[in-house]
Amino acid sequence: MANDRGTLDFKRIIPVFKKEFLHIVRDARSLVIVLIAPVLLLVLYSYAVTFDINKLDFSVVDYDRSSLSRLIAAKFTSSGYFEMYKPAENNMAKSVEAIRVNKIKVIVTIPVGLEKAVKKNLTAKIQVIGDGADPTTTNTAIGYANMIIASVSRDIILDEVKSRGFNTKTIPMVETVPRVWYNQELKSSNFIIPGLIAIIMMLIAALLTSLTVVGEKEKGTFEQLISTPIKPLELMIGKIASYIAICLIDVAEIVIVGILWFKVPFQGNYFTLVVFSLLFLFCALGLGLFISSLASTQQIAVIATAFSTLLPSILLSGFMFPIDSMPWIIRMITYVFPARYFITALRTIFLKADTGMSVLWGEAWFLFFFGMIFLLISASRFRKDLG
Amino acid sequence: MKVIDVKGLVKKFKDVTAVNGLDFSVERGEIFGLIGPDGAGKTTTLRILAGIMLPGSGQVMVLDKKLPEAAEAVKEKIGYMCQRFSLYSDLTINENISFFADVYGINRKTLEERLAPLLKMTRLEPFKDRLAGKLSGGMKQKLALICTLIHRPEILFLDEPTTGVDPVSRREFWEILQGIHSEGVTIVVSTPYMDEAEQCSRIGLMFKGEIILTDTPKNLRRNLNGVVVEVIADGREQLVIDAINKSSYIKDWQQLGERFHVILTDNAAADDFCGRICNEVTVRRIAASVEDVFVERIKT
Amino acid sequence: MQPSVSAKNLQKTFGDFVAVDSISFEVEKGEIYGFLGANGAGKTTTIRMLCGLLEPTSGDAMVAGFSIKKDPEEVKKRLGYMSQKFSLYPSLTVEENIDFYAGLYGKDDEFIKQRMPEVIKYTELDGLEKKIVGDMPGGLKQRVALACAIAHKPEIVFLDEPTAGVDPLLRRRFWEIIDMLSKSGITVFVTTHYMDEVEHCHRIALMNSGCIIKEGTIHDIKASVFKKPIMEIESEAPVEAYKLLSLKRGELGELSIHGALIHLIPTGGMEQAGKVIAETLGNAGIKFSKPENVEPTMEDVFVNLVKGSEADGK
Repeated sequence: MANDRGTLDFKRIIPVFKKEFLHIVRDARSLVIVLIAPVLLLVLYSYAVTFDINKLDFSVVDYDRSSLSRLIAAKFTSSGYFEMYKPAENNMAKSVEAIRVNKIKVIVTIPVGLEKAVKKNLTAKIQVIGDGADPTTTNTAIGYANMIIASVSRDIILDEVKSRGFNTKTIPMVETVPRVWYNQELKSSNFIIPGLIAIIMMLIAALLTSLTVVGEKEKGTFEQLISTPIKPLELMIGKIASYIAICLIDVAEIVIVGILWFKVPFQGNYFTLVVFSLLFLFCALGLGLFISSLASTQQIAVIATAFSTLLPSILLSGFMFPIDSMPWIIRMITYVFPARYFITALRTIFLKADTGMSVLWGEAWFLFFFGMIFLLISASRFRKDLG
Repeated sequence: MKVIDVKGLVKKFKDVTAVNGLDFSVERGEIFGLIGPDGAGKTTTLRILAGIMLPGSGQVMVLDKKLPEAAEAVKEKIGYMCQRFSLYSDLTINENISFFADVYGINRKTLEERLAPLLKMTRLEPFKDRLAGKLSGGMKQKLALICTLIHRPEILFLDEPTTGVDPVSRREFWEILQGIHSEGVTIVVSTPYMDEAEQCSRIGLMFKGEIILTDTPKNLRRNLNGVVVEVIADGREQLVIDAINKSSYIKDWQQLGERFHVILTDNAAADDFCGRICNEVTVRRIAASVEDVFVERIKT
Repeated sequence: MQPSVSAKNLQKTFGDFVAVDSISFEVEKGEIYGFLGANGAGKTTTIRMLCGLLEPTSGDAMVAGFSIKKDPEEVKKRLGYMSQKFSLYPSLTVEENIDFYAGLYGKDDEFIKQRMPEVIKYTELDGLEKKIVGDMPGGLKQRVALACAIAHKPEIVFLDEPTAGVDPLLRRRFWEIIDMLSKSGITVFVTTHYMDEVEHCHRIALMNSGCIIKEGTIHDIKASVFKKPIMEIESEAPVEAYKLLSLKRGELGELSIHGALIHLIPTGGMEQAGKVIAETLGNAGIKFSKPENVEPTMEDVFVNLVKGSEADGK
């Protein structure tokens, strides 16, 4: 049956908005969940998801037992990045077993004769063994290990140079002076929390609307509704509008928690944040509605929503893995997931001062475009008959 | 004037034929009853007429508009109440009514004017702020009725409004319907209760997707091919059963506790049967019921 | 002989709400006992108490020789229960469903093997044993539900609206089975909203607001409620005729409209009423048939009693 689109009548959107809002407010238990869940999720995941290495368990197997070898081991533990796993210390067999059962990520072995070799002005080698099953952590850990060993090595060189009577101040050298902008300490939480906000809201917003249409079908209210002259688009807009209202509260909550609790600096302007939140919620709620209009039961709707929001938002949005490093075909796919645009926008708004809409027009248009697509498809999928 | 005209309507769901070639029409101002057991096709027919289900084949005209093409235009002018309670349980009576009023574009003032008599008629006034989910079955029905009446529809479609409702609430509901009917609203109602046929101006008896008879209840009852007598056995049931078994002119009989409902071929047969047992038990002629007619038709 | 069910001052309250208000009654073995009342009158609560599912607040009842208060488990073993929404497993066959429910009552395979053909024969499900229940029409499902309820050879069966929505022919056959059960000595306790079915009951109790307001055979109840006949008027314009006659309610009596028919319970004489009707409708030019005297239906009785008891209560 052709959906009579005709003209939109705001007189019919308002009652839908009011009705949906009453549903939300009346269901006290769900309301509490909706309002508290985002903060809980944010707190939980922001501690869990961190790329910073901190007190990583490792072991040193020191065959040299010299003052230099002990100095190197001490440098590792005093760096703050590593912590000695005592049961395996100085025992190669135990260290190997420890790495196998995931107790430690790195073994540093110092060979016999290290100090002697250094004293003879020979190049000595220290072996750093990493757990390749966890490349992200191991890579970072090896990086830190290199840094520590390099600094020990530099000190040795300088000492040697000094002992030969040179002024160490005049030794030629090239040094990096790292200056990181926008997130000076390179704190990964500053980077992760804006991303988490997008992922959490994507899930919650889509879940909320995914139940509304199919819910009416299951409760039987659908049959009454379709016997009235209401137009599908009016119904969809009314439903989205009421959930935008509730989701905006959620966004405000987690932004505040991010700023006050996790000390994520907020450099951008609030107006841009609100505009993007609205656009993103429109998009996410639209996706939920779209799923709802296809699903035959609420269960299916929930599963479909979880599948289409969670993993793509985490993996294909640039939240963890840079989109630029993905093969072009995957890169194309990322364009379809709204979280991508919101994450870019949020990181920019949070961390870069004075970024208004002007920088983010592209993202804004994409969000609006996808939101409209979801809305229109849902409305056209909403059949005002039972087949 | 015909407000509903159905010709050759067929509706199939996969391998089940729910409605198999319906032909009937409803005149303005009638109470038209679709009467039949579960699975007869009543709900499917009403849904199609209310524009919320696609007819399979055949022609369906409602208020001179062709369905399904003009479904949305028809929906403005009809009210439909489905079998299952289909209002929002977490909204109050008032909120449910305002929602539907707003959807039909009725302004506050008009709503108040129309609502007052409806609340009075249904006696729901004192419960205005109660959540719909907390109402009794009868009250839910009445609320649903108000929601379908608030836009003053020309035709009201009611799908089994009295199923599972006790006789007192049923009668009260019918009184309300008669009141609405007296204001000129055409009503199409379905029910599995054969005795409710008397409440309708005209009925269509439905069975297995077909309308097997259409007529006024009175004519329909006259349609029975036979004469009905009632026997009150008063403890002598076996005597009555023996008499029935010995007679060749009994078309159908049914024992109801200590009473017997017997259908005989004609007046002569009835006289003969009464003559045989009237000295022992009480026998009297009674009018045929719609159910008698229905059973006669579906048996053959 | 000891009655099958005997309730004495049975009462159940939920907070301040008195659902069942101290009722007493007896049902004989093999009797078909109809339990009627408006929705919310207390029927379901009473049945639940009698089935040992709900403990009475006060009073007691003996069901199949056991107290529902002291030995609810013994009571449960001896009764069968079937409701309109009887939970049959749609993906199982008729036999499997019966087998399952008999098993729930602790019956062993040997008992079930012996009982199965009896139950199938009783409920006229011969040849359908291997059919999947989900594929069967409503009327047959009700019979399967009945078969499950009687599989363990209960002494009493409680049937809660067993025939809702079933076509009249299948309903008749269902009642034939019920009659047979009754004749074989099983006590049948039944509720229904089909007033014509009530006629199958040997005795009925009518409940309203937690009390039994009338008990007895249909015949006696009808005779005691309506001492005078009801007048039926058929008219070409029933709605207008009803409106005109309603204006003269005082002179005529209680009026009700039934589609094309108007029912009158005259307060004065029949002749007097006939005259007023003829005059009123004649003046308005509405054609009508001569008023006929008709028997009150069970529904007339029910409505009259419930309304009357409500009026007394107020």
